[in-house]
Amino acid sequence: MNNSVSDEKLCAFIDGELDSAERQDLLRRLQIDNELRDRVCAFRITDDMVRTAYAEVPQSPTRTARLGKAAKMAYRALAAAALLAVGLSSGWALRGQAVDDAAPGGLLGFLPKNVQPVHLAEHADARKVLLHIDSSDPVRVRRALEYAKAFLKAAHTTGVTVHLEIVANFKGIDVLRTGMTPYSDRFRALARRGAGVELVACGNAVARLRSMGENPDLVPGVRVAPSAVAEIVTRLEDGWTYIKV
Amino acid sequence: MILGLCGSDRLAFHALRPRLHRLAFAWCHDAALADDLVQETLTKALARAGQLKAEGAIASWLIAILNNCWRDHLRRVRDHLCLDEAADWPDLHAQGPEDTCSQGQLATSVRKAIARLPLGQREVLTLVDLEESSYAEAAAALGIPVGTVMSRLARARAALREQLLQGSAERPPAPLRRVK
Repeated sequence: MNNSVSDEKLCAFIDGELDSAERQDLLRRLQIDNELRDRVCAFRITDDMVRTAYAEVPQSPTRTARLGKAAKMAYRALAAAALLAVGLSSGWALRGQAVDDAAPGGLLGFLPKNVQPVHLAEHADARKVLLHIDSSDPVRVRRALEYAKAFLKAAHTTGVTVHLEIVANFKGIDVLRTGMTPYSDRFRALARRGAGVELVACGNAVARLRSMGENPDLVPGVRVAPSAVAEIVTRLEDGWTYIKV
Repeated sequence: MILGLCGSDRLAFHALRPRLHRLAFAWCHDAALADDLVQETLTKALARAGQLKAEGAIASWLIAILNNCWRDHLRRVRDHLCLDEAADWPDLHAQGPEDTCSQGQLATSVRKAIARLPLGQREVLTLVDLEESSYAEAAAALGIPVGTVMSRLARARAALREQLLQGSAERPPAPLRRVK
């Protein structure tokens, strides 16, 4: 554990440039070393930011005046990618990004004071909540379940129709895989409990598992999105409220 | 000679134009200059089409030419600097207020952070992140060893992490374990 991993090696890991032995070795270390995982996460986030910052580039000074919807979308996508940084376990957070206030109607009253829900659209809707989990740490998994239940209960008591989506990526994907954690049945039960609850797995995480020769074996009813970031961006665009557990 | 290019290669040229422009823009952060560089690159590429041997290598070949055009340009305007270490060139205000505004502060701060990187790091980072080049492709396009690609990339990403994400300053040196 004290045997530190260089930034070069982490980069090579992210870019798929390690040979399979080195890759397996690093994957094993990532499972037990939170700090290492945070470093990988931070690099992935900066990479996302770089890609998004150049998703739309001006063609020439004379034409830049009419940057339309596409540029705005790119900016929003960037903002959303940046928001993913907010909840990282070691406290990585985006510099200078403001977060909106809590939702009306008491639906989110169950959230502890230090947890900030995030909105991106002008008209945020507290009835549509996306829970994002990127870890299989039991504390966080139980928190996700607890939030989900509290939200559905609040909806039930107030008689409001709600939508809840639980998006899992990185190690969080394990909670949606059969038999990987003690929790997959409970997530499945949530999804079966009623309309409006959906479980979503990150397509990148699924592809990563397959590339390592593992069978993802997702529990029935899980939808695979192209990527967790894309899913979160789309939902935020649609006025959903984002909560990172 | 233009005839040296077969039809599919010419199609590839057109398809690659926006990618080259984006890459050039990420290097120089000046839309007009990026346009000029891409135009110059494509003109040179057409003239030297005979050099292109391996099929499917058009992208790396064009990027190598773009890199030469860019460095020629830099040499013309600032011949006294070691190019790989050149940073902060030119500044982002050249983009004009509309662009800065519509792209948002975040895009601007990311681009600023990238503009602050030494040129050698900026090129490697943009090739790997924007073009999704492999390390070998990036090394070939830039004419540097793979080891240099790796070290520049790691330094570039670490610099962006420091500038764009909080938490880095508090992080203990890697060999230390976090207590709590």
